[in-house]
Amino acid sequence: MSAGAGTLEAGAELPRSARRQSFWSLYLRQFARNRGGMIGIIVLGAVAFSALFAPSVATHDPYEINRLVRLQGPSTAHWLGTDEFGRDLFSRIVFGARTSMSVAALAIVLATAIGAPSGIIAGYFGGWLDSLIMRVMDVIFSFPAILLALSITAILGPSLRNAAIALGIVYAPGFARIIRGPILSAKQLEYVEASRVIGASTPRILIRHLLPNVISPLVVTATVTFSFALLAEAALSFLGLGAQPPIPSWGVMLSDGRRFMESAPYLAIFPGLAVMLAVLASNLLGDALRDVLDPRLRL
Amino acid sequence: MIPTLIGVSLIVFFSIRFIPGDIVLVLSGARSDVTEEQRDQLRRNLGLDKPLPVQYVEWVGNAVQGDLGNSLKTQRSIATDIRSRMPVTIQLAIMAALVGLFVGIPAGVIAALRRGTRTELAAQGVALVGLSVPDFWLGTMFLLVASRYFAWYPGAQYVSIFDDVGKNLSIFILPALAVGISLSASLMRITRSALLDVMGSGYIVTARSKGLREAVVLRRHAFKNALIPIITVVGLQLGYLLGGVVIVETVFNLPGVGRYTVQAISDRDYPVVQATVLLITILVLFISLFVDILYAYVDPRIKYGSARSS
Amino acid sequence: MPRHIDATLERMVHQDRQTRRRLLQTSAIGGAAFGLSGLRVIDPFTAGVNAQDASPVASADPIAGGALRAGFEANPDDLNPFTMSSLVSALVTEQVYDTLFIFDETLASQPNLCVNFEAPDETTFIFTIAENAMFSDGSPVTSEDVKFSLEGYKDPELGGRAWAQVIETIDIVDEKTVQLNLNSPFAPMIGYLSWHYNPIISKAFYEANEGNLQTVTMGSGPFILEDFVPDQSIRFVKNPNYWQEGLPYLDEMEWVVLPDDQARVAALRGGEVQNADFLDYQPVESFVDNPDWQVYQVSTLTHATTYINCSEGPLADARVRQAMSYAIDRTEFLETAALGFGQVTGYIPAPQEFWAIPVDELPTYQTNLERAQELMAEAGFADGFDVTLRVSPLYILDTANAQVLQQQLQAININITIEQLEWGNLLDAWVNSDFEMLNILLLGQPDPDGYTWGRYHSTSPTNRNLISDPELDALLDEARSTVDTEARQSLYADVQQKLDTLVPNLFYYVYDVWLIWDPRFRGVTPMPNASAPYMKRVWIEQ
Repeated sequence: MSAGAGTLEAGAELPRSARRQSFWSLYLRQFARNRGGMIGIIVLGAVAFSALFAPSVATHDPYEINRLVRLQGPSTAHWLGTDEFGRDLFSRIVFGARTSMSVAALAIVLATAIGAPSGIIAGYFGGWLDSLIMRVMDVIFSFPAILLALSITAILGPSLRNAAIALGIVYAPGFARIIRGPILSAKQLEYVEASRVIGASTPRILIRHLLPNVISPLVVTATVTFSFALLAEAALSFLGLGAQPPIPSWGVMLSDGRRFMESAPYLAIFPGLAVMLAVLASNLLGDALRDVLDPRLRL
Repeated sequence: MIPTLIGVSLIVFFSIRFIPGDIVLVLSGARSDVTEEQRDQLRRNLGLDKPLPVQYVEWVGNAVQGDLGNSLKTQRSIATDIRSRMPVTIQLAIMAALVGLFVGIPAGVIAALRRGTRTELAAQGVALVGLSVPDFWLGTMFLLVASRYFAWYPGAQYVSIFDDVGKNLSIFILPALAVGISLSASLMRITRSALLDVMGSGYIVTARSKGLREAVVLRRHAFKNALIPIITVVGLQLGYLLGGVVIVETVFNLPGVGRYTVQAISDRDYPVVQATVLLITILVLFISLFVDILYAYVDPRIKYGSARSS
Repeated sequence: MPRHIDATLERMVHQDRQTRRRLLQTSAIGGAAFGLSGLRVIDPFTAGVNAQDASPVASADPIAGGALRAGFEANPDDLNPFTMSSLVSALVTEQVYDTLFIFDETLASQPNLCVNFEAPDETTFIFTIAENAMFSDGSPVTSEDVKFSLEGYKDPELGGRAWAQVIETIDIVDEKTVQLNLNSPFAPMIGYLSWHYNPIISKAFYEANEGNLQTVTMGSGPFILEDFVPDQSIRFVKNPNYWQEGLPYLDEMEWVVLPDDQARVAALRGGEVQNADFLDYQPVESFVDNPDWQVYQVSTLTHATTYINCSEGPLADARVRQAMSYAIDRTEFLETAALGFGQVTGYIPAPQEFWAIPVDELPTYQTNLERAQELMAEAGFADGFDVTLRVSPLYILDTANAQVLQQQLQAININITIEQLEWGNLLDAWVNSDFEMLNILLLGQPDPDGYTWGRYHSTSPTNRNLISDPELDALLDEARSTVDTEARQSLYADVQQKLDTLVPNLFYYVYDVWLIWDPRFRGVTPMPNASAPYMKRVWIEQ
């Protein structure tokens, strides 16, 4: 049960630098053995690469309008076809990776930063603090996301960053709830009670003994929410809150594609595949991380 | 519960008014022959010229007496509108959650038990589609495929389940599938992960070594302990569904609460937004209460109270 | 496409002024069609898209009875004719209320409740109301109701319509005759009175309901609104007291509220509805050349434009605005954003051929990059500048135009940042002139006055561009008070040439809409102004 803690205790006798090295190399070795995790890393790396170096990866200017080639299917000139403006779909998907990945990542980081501590504190301390935090989360959660997003942009102005902030706030209650549950059950476990009895400090109990219990649901929630965020950005864009045209984003391309669902289905299929690839990769990575980080699975 | 409601009422009341534009403008927007005086007169007629605190107190005062007021746009009673729309949203939420449960949990269990096999791969594949295709997209696809290739259309008009069960179900089946498949993806992921956690723990090893059949181990020990995160996710998703899946409601012409709220937000129909948000809050609070009770039920170790006192 | 928009009316007013004699005959009322011969234009698109049914109306005798179910795009909001303003509400009230005059499908004014009118001088109109005209409750339509309605439209606290402000007083001559005294000559009057936004309301009904007509309706129109359930349906039944004999043919109409394009497509295919309209060609594609369906392609007056704030910054310089107009290729806007369905338009929508001068006569419409760069240099902006364009994602065409404009203006170094606003916010910005540039779709107006004076006169309350040009003001004032049609036509030609030097708006195109009908339904005569007065003449072939 306490294999994770044991590893750290053993390392405590080593010099600080050596301890850190073995700590990381252990994780790295474990990770490298995980085939799914490696695939995930490679795919995400490829997506990140095309996002960073989009101008070199893209075959066309993603903004160039040319009515002569509008709504053409995939061809050698336009690998994935063109949209109603005659813009190259492949190049737009490559550039869209920038928008989509950054919004989704920022939203997840924010949601975790707000939700995870709230859930841990609420679950561990219980009582009025629990009620207060969870009721605040309920307020956020029951608030229509659209209203929340509109209010946020009324204050901050419409931009991609603010869209990510809005999404982060919307997702935070989910993180808090999903983390509070395991904390609630774990804090009653014998070893937690035991360490409390021997006088371990609260932060120590939280970090050493309770945190490992939430890593698994946290990672899964984060990877699932990542795909929601990729798509939710499209809904925000529909209200004018997300990517401003003509900046491409996968979510927007997907929902715009709905208009051409019968006549030019590839307009929605390819962005959908891009989302799928990114989601697959993030889920594989999530599973791998979870396997590596969760001490109980090393049995 | 009361403080939460007061908090929500304050936030919704002021945030909707904080957004630029009002109902008069939205309704007369595209007309160039409507003058500013006429707009001001309309605002006076609707009581939008009163000071905000006065409007707030009036609204709360009426709301606690059960009077939610009338829509600024249609002058219809909001209570009546919500009463007719709530069953639609609740039915869609429940049916979609059922689809999610029936697809997501078995898929998650299979994926956890057959780790690394093709079966897991297939289950993961389904989840992947659910995660990368938005529910409205899936819904539209279903609708178009059904109408184009099977000449089948579920019906343009909502029929209450109490009037005609068959027709009602045929209207709800496609939207429930579309939303449910999206839901099942996250349920499948969380079930798999929760089960894997539990399967590694000592008591499962003990149970196995007692010679219990795998099915019994799974049912009696593993699954029960994996329920907490699953319940949390289902609770969260029910809350999300009660807020309404707007585009799906629109595509299938379901007169649900989601459409009502979103339309009201874009119309700046303040009393409608206030009433629906408050109502959804109440429902969400009940669900989280229920989820907390379920926690204690499935995991007797959970006792509520502060950590120090236990 | 020969179109003499408003020609009948204009000729009427014109001749009336000259000869002071009665033009319209009471006998025109009651028949299935007014004197349309010679003016009737069958839209070539209609015939082109579905040639099997080029002139459907006259060929068979209409049969009364039956019901129609149609897919409808949105919920009507306010049904009070005095205060309603949305296109959707007007489509509903149009079936229930009647106007004094009525537009035919060429947008020429025809007699309706008013069967006879005289104009003894330039500021007086005398209207005679049809003897048998009655409301659906059986009470007669009287001069009292006309006076009440028009005064209501004038009252700034009720209707507050800009056009009604020229009415000085209204005298009741007798029960069926009413006299309007204007404070200045106002040629567009009959056009505004033909518009379905300005119907006649029963004074007694208004008073009985204490003015709360937002949800209850009662008029002298062909149908009675029986029931409206938001997000569900709008149900009409035949008005048994309809004063035009034999009409309407249908016993019932149900408009099912289906906002989603794909949902209306599915409902049509599933046989759930027999008619639905579309603004986009994509969902229509599978219905074209399909013998099971009649598709009407209708060119509309709805025009796509970019508003330019003429009051400050580089955009205050008319040369910069001209340069923008020279720099863009409007065909590309039409071809990409509207997928080629529509026509390039100038300052008055091109389908109003009588008033709109052809776009090749507008200098800045001839794409000329060199001239554009010269003008930018003259204005001192050879290196260009940055500007924000506001747009709502609610309308695909608006965001599409924004992207094309952004691309094309790069050629003269104008860098556009597109800022999307939610629809309510965009309207707020538009009404308060809170924009540098802003994209919006504008609806057709009943008279050229609506496209010009209201938008660009420096004293107009709806001058969103904040443009102020004394020469333009003088031209606009003269045009609206000139009653002679030819003189007025040439004045509006001057106005358009003048506007092309000022370029307060960049206009792109008017677009087409599609009406899909079950071919058993006859008598559909599509209108270019987003209205459906033909519903009363729709009948079902057995």
